[in-house]
Amino acid sequence: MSQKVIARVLSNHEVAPETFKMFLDAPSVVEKAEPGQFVHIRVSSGTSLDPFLRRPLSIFSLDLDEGRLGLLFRVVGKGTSILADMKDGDHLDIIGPLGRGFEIREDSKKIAIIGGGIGVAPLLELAHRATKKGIEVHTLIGARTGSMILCPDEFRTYSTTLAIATDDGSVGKKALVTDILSGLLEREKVDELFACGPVSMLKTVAKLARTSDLPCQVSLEARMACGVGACLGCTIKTQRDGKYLKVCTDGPVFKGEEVDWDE
Amino acid sequence: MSKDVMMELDIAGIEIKNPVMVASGTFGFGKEYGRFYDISRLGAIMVKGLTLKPRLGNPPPRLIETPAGLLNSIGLENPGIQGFLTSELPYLREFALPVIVNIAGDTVNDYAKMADILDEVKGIAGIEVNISCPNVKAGGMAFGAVPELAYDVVNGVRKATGLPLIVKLSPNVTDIKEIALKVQDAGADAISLINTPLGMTINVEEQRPALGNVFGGLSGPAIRPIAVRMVWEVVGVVKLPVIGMGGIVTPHDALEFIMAGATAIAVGAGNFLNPMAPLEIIDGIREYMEKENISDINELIGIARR
Repeated sequence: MSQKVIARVLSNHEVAPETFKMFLDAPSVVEKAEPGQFVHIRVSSGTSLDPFLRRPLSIFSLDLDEGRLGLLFRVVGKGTSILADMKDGDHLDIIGPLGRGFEIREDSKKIAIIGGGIGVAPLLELAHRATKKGIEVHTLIGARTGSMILCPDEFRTYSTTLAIATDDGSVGKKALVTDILSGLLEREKVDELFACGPVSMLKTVAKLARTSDLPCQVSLEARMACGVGACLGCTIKTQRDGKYLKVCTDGPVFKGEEVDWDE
Repeated sequence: MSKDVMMELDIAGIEIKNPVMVASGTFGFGKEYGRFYDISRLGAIMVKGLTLKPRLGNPPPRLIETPAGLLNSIGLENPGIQGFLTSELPYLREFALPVIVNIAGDTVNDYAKMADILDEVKGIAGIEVNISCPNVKAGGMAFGAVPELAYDVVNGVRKATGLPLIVKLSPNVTDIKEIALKVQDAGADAISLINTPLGMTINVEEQRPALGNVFGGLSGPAIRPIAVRMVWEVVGVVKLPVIGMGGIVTPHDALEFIMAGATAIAVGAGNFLNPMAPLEIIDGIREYMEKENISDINELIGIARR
């Protein structure tokens, strides 16, 4: 059974410009959730019906002992600015966990995780789970500028190596994160790639994966209405005869080769 | 304890346990929301619109939020009628739930063929003839906007099947009463309305239309007053029962439609905001009837007209 739960906000802090980290008390969601899945959050309150649609947010962290769900989001419009204003003790109506998350292959010993901007959100819990399994995790984070490199300390905790790239060189290397990925792939024999970030970045990661003959999973975002596979509003074009797949239930995690990157 | 209230109804020969249905295109083929609750509690399900052959649908982006609603241009993505019968209907047959199959065609013949196929199938309570989809080039809304074409489609379907026929009307017309009367003449058993009014938004940052298909259908609370008005108008001229829909999210919204004369209602985009909305509406109508000492739902239908 899927469920709609009322979750209490435990904390909500701005961790970077316009970027918030929120923790919710949601044990029933946390116990079922996998890295890469999302929750669908109602942002209108009380009898208000505006904004009308829920907002899908990636699951950032899962604390099974405390039943604590972490979210990391950037304020991009009306819905996320309402979420940014939420305070400890407020309540949110959420549905989840939803969607198909990341799946680490049984035989993977070494993985690379690539995040761009706010796209790091679904990757921390993946790094956490991989590390717990004894898998070597090489994390690469990119952003426009140093202040937008999100949660590097958390990623460092769950990574064997952490490399940072910024467009302006203010922190880490002045390069694209995909450039440092090429370097990593030459040095290390990784078994799998996992990525989330801007489409242009994902497209390059998928291409690098193909040329290196590596399996690659990417997490995509789309505007959603239902979030559960009923409305067919959040589709993306695939490589399969121009067919569409739903970001909400076929994804949000897709194999890199499934996606039609030229659309 | 208040007395029991009667919510059972017969609409177009379909027996429903309460007047709350779920609208085509917002509820898939039931499975998605079947994970939230027992869907046999619903009055009926109107499944995603089907065409004779599978359709891929329109290019993304397919939806955009608007004030108190959303615009969509899904474009009737569906597995085709055979795909539905093979892969989706078996799931629905497990429930004591009337299944109303929404069909859309490019030609009168398409509609008739689909009705003919469905006529033979067990586990189908009725057909909803969609002459109002705003998102496909051929057929769809074109049939619903011209009284004679609407007549031809319904007449063609009527000849092909003995199943109860509900015809879903488009609000994108000058006079909805005229279309309603035509489909009544052609042999419809009920009318459902409204499908989505056509709308558009511009993505100002990118200086181009926000939807991949340029135009889309508007749904959600934003359209509710238009829908209530059209239900009121149509109920005033036809003898057929009317299923009202358009922006219903709460019991209060549903009561508006019933009081305007709708025999039943359907929850559409409201499912997206609140997956539990249909059940809350069933309970809310019951509570209202208890509070107002109304024992039979039939007493409520059209009460605002008297």
